[in-house]
Amino acid sequence: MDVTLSTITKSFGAVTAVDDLSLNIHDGELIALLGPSGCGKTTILFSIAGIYKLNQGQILFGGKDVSTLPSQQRNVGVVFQAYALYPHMTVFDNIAFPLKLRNESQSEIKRKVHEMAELTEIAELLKRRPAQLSGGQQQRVSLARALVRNPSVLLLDEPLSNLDARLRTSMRAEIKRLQRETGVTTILVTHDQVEATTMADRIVCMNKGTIAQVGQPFDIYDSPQDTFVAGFIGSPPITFIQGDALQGMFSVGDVQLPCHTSLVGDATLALRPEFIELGCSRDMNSFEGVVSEIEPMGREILYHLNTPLGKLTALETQGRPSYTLNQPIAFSWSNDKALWFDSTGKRVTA
Amino acid sequence: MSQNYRTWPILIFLTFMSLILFLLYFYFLLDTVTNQAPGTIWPSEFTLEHWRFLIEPIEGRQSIWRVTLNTIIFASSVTLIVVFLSSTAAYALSRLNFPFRSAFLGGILVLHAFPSVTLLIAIFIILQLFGLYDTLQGVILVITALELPLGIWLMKGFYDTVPWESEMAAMTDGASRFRVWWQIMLPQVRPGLFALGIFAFLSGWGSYLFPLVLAPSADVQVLSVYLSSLIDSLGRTDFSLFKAVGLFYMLPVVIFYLFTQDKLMNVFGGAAKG
Repeated sequence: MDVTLSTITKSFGAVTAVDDLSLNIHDGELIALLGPSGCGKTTILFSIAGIYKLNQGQILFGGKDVSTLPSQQRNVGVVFQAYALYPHMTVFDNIAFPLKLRNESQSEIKRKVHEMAELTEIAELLKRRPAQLSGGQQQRVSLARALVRNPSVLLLDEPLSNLDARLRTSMRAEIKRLQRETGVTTILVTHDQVEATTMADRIVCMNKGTIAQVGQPFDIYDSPQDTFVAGFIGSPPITFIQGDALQGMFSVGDVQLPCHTSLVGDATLALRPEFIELGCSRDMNSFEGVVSEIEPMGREILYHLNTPLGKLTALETQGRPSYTLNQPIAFSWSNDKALWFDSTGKRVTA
Repeated sequence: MSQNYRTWPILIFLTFMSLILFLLYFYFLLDTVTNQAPGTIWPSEFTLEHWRFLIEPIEGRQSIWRVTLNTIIFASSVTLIVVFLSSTAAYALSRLNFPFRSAFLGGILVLHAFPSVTLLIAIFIILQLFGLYDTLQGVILVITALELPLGIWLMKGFYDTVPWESEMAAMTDGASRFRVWWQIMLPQVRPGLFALGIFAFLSGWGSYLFPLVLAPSADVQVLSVYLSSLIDSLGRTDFSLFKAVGLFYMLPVVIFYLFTQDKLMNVFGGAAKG
């Protein structure tokens, strides 16, 4: 079922958490709301679930306005950050709870719970209590409970943040598989960009209660529309170089670079670490920096450089470190990989 | 090993000190089933005459069984009402946002701290006004009212430890507010309910001053009032009888406490883990 948020606003007292926000979510899509804490992403999730009442705007499920419906009548499945399993019930009763509330027949409940337990691979845990389960198992029970009644939309609130790193990777794939197999429209809230880029069909990058950018993971990574998105997405993070632009020239200290002529005044050049080519021959497009720090990250090596442009980070993507501390390195980048932003932080494309 | 031996002197000392207590209780028990000549310590004969009150009413008084029944009705009613009202009121105070909520909370605390004895005369007049003076219902209402502040405050503490998400999950699962309370919240505060129930029962069983003043007549007497009425103002008190009735009054509570003390500890522990 597709979900439409139409100019929604939600404030708590004087604080506006979500400000006049609109978004279309397609049927069967897994969309991620990504942003730093306090950007309003969980507020949106709880508004869709009916836990928060909107100040303004509408929420539509398949064209039907549900903004005034109470939570109980919206048929949303929610997986909470701490799972919120009912500690006094067995796993079976936890999953069966939403079905019992609908007065479904015993045999029907049994069939559906077992089917869902099969799908989430917890069939052998049905008699246990939540306290006897590991974090990953609790997560599966929570997913099963949310999915068992065929929700119009599945809402995931930071579903992986309570798991350890290894489990997180496997649960990521697991949630994606469940979503694909059930075809349920899913909204994932996360502050972890890896979670968002690996799982989501589309990412909604949020900043201070508004949408900064919506797009497919690669889109957002390759062409961020403003400095916020550019800085938030990407790890290790992008480097910003602030300078002055005038008549197609961008100056940082003594260095001058050609730039787009529409840039005037304060401007920002952003370079992703992996697009910096290290050890190129010295020519007029290259610069020289000194290695100030080396961070081996396993497969890759991250260098911190002191350069005439300021501090830069660069990634050597294969092999073992070819440079040592305090060693001068020549570097350059190809112009089509450089991202330019104007004085308001908006992207300027050549 | 050596650690264990080192604690022996302390253990012996404590045992010795506790023996004195045991001695007191032992004599308490012994006196109810023996007679002794005046001025002596050792009993001279075994007798069950001090327990005669179990079979026949003591002259001029109500049957002990009637009084016991009164006490059970009294303590149980207080328990039921306190547990029911505290569990609903505390839920509202913990979770719902209604006008004057904080004033209400503060008021409860003040009531809890208020010395209730000072209300005695006012309550007496009010009960008489409503025709509840010298009735069991009247004194049940009064003790319930006095126990409620503690009960509400206690239960609020238990509700506060239950995560909000638990409730939100139940609501999105389709449960009404009442069902959320009944099926999700109440089971999670069960240790609190037990503890409060036991607490309320014990204080109902033990209350003396209010029943004495508000329900003194023979038909509605409770055990504490009955016991004190055995002390004869003319100095002809039968102390062996007094001890026997005292033991009879005390025993159920001691047994009850032995079986429930672990649950009662939750009052002080506070955590509601399912």
